[in-house]
Parts: sequence; structure tokens; C-alpha cells
Amino acid sequence: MSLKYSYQRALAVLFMTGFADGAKRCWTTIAGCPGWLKLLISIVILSLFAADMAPPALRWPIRFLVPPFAIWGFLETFFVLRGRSVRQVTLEFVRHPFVWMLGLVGISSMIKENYPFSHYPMYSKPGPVKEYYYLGKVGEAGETVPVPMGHVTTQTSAKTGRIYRGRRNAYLEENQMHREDLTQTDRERIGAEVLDLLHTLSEKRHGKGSAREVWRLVKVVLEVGPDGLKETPTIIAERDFTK
Amino acid sequence: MSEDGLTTAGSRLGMMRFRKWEAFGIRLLFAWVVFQALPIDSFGPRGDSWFGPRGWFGTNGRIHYPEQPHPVGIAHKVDVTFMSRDAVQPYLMAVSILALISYVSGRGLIFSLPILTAIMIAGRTLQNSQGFTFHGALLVGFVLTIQTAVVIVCTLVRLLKKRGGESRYSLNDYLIRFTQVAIVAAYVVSGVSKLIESEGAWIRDSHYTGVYIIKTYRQNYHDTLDKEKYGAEYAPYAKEMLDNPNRTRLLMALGLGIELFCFIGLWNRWLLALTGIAVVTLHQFIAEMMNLYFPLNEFTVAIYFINPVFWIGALILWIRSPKSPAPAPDS
Repeated sequence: MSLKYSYQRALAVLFMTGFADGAKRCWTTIAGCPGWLKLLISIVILSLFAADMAPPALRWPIRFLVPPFAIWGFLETFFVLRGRSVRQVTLEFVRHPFVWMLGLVGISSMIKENYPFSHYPMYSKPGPVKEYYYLGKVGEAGETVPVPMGHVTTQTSAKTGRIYRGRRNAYLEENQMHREDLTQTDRERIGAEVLDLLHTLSEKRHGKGSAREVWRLVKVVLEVGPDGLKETPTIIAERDFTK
Repeated sequence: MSEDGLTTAGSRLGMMRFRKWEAFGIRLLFAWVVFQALPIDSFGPRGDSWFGPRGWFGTNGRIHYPEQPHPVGIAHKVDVTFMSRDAVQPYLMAVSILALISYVSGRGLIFSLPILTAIMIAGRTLQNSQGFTFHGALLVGFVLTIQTAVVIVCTLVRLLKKRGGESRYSLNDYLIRFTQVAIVAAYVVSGVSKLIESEGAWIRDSHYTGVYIIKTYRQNYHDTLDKEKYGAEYAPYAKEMLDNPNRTRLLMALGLGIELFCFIGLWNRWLLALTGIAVVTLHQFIAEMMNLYFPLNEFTVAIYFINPVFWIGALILWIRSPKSPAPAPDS
């Protein structure tokens, strides 16, 4: 594109110098601010980005420009940069224990629950409604009589809950279903599997034929509201081990 | 800044030097923790062993699960059910004891650490492949894994390095420092997870931890059917937490802060000891309020953060040579 008139050229020059001057001023301000401020600004911007509060137009620059800016701030805060070569600083950065700590946090968050890594998700979603599971046997009147699970099965109520939820989630994933799509039959099937496992472990501890009873897996929904504490038990599955 | 000091030329939160006797003491104490956490049969009658009773933490002993229905980690590729078999237990015990002796002595770490890590990972992976996760022995396994990685990398670097290129830090320095880093990472990731999973609402909703406490209380009741201990409608502290949301939020925010900012402990020995005390206190609070015990974590943090070996050693040195100043806590 050629600029025909001199005023166009003049405007272009003015615009370019203005732009260059503006950019230079921006750069000087950014580069001149202390490392900790760079780090803080990056953390704030990245937090907004993580919370999905950044406007779509800004997502690309945030994704690609802010992390190097954060590293720059980090280097300035924790390292002596002046008078040292890029190689020296890079080597020190890569070997730095704090950088490894950040790396391990990232790796653990990505790998999640795969021993020996974990992102420790327990107790991370506090809310007014929680559920727990327990083992019961059928009493004479058909009622559910709780069984001391830890002693009888070697498995605690907490572990049993995790086993049930783990198997339920695996079942959902296997059948590409959502939790709301689970039928009572599905729940019974998963619950029966859990009861079988508990029974096997119980016989392993107390000997074969030690638990000839009808067992039930019961889920209790615990709810705290303005009226106080409410508990709603539901029988998930029942298995007859008398034969 | 002192070259021998905590913050070596130009870097803070960086490497640190440890004395030989200090490294030995730390290895000895941590070997005992690993011994308690190993997923193999106990020695001697009723769980007692040659090195003292096992089972104090409820985390020892063979993993009895015969299957791995919900594989995690290496169980996706390897069948780890052999860890539950009777036949392998004597071999595992013998190998573990030899590896632990090697670990304490500091000789042959390139062999003993991978062995201990492999036994730990295989057993605990089998345990966690049942559809639930046992978090009690995670930190010890994680620390062993990091120590194995450090010893392998340091050995490779030493083999590949030309003569005369001696490192400023010894293997002990790297092992202990990177273990501290791993422990900090485990606590920071726990704090970060709370913020991510709750979508930033953790502190706002933290008074509902009271519901968690009631849930744990009920679960404990069903484990034991001990009506005297777990028979009340509300668990201890639960009602107070639910009735005083703001006070609870403040307390829980303090706990979250300890998790998120425990990396500050990497600054120097004093802060490390203070952070260690804060983390152990946090665990004690959790144990008191929620009946959730993490003794292996507490001991690991106490050994590597509070570091009684160093402070006792420094005190002895100071008493023995009263005219000379005590060793600087940051050296």
C-alpha cells in the first residue's frame, strides 16, 4: 500500500511514533516495576482467568503472555539477575527447589489420585448435605440392625462408602451414564458387589461360615437445615449369605 | 550472603546444607516411619517386630485384597495383587529390612531407595485399587518416590560429570532439601484442590465442616457400635461450628492458609521449624475435631521440618564448646 498524499504519510509517521512511544513507555513501566509486583499482577490476572472472568478477546494474550511475565517476576524476586548470563540464571531456575515445588504441585494436580501422587480432594466441598454408608443385618422383625463394621469386615464405614462410590462412578463411566440415570436395579447391583467384597473380607478374618446372615448396605443422607439435623436412610442392596 | 548459609548466592528458598550427623539422624528416624508404613506382614508375635511394635499408626501390615477391580497408578499396567500373597511375604520382609539398613547407613541408596519405593508403591496401589483412596500413607510414598528420583539423578550426574566438576552440595543435601520440597508441595496441592474443587467457595462454606464431623462421628459409630463414645446426636464441636459460621470460617481459613503458604518454611531453619509446628498442630486439630489421624504425615513433617536432630545436635555442640558460638541455624 502506498500513501499518496503527504498528510497521509505525516499521519502514519505520527501514528507509528505515537504507537512506538506508547509501547516504549509501557515496556519501561512494566520492566521497571519490582519483581514482586509483576508476580502479584500475574497471579491476579491468572486467578481471574482461572475463574473464567476474563473477556474472550483477552484469553489468548493471557494464556501466552502472563505465564512468562510471572516467571520474569519470580526470577526478579528470588534471583540476582544483573551481571549473570541467561544460561546461569536458567540453570539456577531449573535446579531451584522452589521451582520444583511448583512443578510437583502442578504434576500432583494433573495426575490426581494415582499412588504415590494425589491432589488430596477430601473435604474440599463442604456443604449442608452429606451421605454415609453402613452395614446392617436383617433383624427378626425385618428391621436393619447395624453391624460393627470395623470388627466384622475389617472395612470402616468411610472405606465402604468410598468403595461404593468408586464402583458406582466406574459403572457410570463404563456405561457412559450420568448419576441421575442410575436405576434402583443398577444401585442394587453395585451395592451387592460391595456386600460380596465385605463378606469375603469378613470370612477371611473370622473364618468360613462366620457370617451366615442377610446383610444390607444402607445409605444415610445427612442434612443440616434451619430445623436442625435430618437423617434419611435408604437400603441400597440386600444379600442373603445364610446359604 | 553467606555461601554456607541457607540462601546461597543469589537464590532464596533455595538449597541448604546439612551436616553428616544430621542427615544420619534424619534417615534413621524416617526409616522408622517407612518401616511403620510398609505394606508387608508384621514381624514376630502380635505385630511386634525386632525394631519395636508396629501397628501404632494402624497403617502397617499386608494389604489383603485379592483383586484390583479399580486400578490406579501402576495397577493399570502391572498386576500388583502378588503383594497380598503369603508366599512373597518372607522375601518382601527380608528385602525391606536389608534396604532399610542400607538406607539408614547411607550406603547403596541407589539400590535400597528404589526397592523400598517399589514395595511401598505396589502395596499401596493395590490398596487404592479397590475403589477408594487411603490417604494415610500417601506422603511417605510420595517422599520415597522423590528421594528415589533424586538419588537416580544425582548418580547419573556424578557419572556423566567430568573430573573436577564437584557439586557444591552433597547427595544428603539434595535428598533432604527435595524431601522438604515434596512435603511442602503435598500440602500446597491440598490447599489448591480445596479452592479448585469448591470453585473458590471453600472458606464461605467451611462452617459446613460441622456436617463432615457429624458424618465421621456416625461412621465411627457404625465401625464400633460404641454408643457411649459416638451415641450423641451432634458430634463434639459440630454444633458450635454450625451455629457460629463466622468464627468457624476464621479458624478454617487459618488452616487453609497453613496449607497454602507452608512453602514459606523453605526460607530458613527457623521458619521451617515454625511451619512444621503449625502443620503438626493443624493435624492435631483435625484429629481432635474430626477423628481423622495422619500420624505418618505428622512424623514425616516433624522429622524434616521441625528437625529435632539438628536442634538437639546444635544444643549438644553448644554445651560442649561454650566459648565458641553455636552453629548458625541456617547453615
